[in-house]
Amino acid sequence: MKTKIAILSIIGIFIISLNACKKDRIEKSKNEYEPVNSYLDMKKQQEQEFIINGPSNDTIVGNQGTKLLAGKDCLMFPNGDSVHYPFSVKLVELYTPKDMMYWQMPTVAAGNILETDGEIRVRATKNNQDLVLRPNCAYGVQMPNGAPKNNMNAFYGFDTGSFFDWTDNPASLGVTTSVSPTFNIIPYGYEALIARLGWLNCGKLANNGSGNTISFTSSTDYLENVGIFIYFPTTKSVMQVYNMTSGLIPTGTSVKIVMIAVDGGGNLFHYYNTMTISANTTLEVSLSAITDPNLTTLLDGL
Amino acid sequence: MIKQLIFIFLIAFLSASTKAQNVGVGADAMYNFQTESFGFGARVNFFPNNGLSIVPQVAYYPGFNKINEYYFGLGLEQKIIRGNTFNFYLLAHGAYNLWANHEESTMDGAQASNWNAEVGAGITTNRCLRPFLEYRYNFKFQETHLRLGLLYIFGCNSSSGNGGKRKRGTTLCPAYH
Repeated sequence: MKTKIAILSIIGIFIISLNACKKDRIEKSKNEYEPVNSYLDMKKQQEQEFIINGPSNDTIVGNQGTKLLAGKDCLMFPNGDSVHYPFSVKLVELYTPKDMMYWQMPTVAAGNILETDGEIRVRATKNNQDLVLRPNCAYGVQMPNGAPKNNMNAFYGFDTGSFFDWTDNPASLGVTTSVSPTFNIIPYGYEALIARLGWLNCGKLANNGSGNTISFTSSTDYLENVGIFIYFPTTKSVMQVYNMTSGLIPTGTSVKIVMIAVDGGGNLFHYYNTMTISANTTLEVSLSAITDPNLTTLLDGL
Repeated sequence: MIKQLIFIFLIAFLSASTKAQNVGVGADAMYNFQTESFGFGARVNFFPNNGLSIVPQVAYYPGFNKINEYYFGLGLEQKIIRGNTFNFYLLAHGAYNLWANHEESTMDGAQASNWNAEVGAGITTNRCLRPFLEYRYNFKFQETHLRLGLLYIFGCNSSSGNGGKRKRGTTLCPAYH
């Protein structure tokens, strides 16, 4: 009899333990993601390199139509030494919100969204060393656009340490220049002289320091490693969200929200929503799986 | 309050230990299958040769585990099969749990202080130095763990009763012979 009780008791404990065990204390209760940078870097526009061998080929046309005039006489080494042929010009062209998101190059200047008609990055190198423009020199740029707008300025990108910001005041970056900050409208699109190598945004301010924010929360997903972007179709502006709270969004603005995440297995997840912002908003989100082609199509259609 | 409990415990320990084989002390190692954590513990076993034993015990899961915690508890062991060589017992255990790294858990309601109740079953021997193996289920966290340990019975020696009968170098306690 005792043996039966013992056996039944042990069997009972095993059955309870098999059916009622949980790993709640060590398992994550939300979906966790890896940093999204690797995926975005894999998808982003590649930098184009042009070897300049002489004055006959120092006009460059990027594969998306950006034209550069890069004369060597305006280039120098950082220590002031002159540059001799050949040298390289490297170009990144971002003309779509998709490409701006992949590069994580939002169009926000000092907290205000920029209406934009494209971003480019221009670098010049010689022997793998970055060159700089000589003081009071500039390079010429033409950016393609079928419907160019007035009063689009040259905004220069600068690294704040955690993200890129933009300014149309090159003096604040230590650049002395007398060139006009405003793009000229030409049949090709835009044309300007640019006083500094690096990131350039053809844009104008679309906000004046007022507006509302969106705060992102999720009961199903950890958002720390998720790429969160807000696209403004009217102004073609892209905002990236850091620390789960957006920058200022002008009241009444229609936005498209895109979130991109990659889990530890390399699977892709996303969130997409369109909304009009009229007050500070808290948005509860839940990411869902998506294929790379479908996400690419989604971003192409923004 | 804690001083009073320690005092009561010491009195009980001294009182029981004055009588041969009424007290055992032991140590054990354990593995929690759900938290995937290794721990170790210590215990005092009052009346280890009786049908019902009272077993105060502590356990510690060190910080190299996913779960870092302490248990301070009191167990009751009821022997249900008493053989010549092995005893089988059922146990119930109530404990205060101090979960040191609860902040790292995403479990709803994770907190440092918890009260736990466990049931389980075990097997041990009748010898002076008794290995024991226990399997327990924790109702609070819904986890199981396995314990393997050794219990030494005070006042149990080779010359006491049983004619000093030995098996494999260990001594059979005379209480069952």
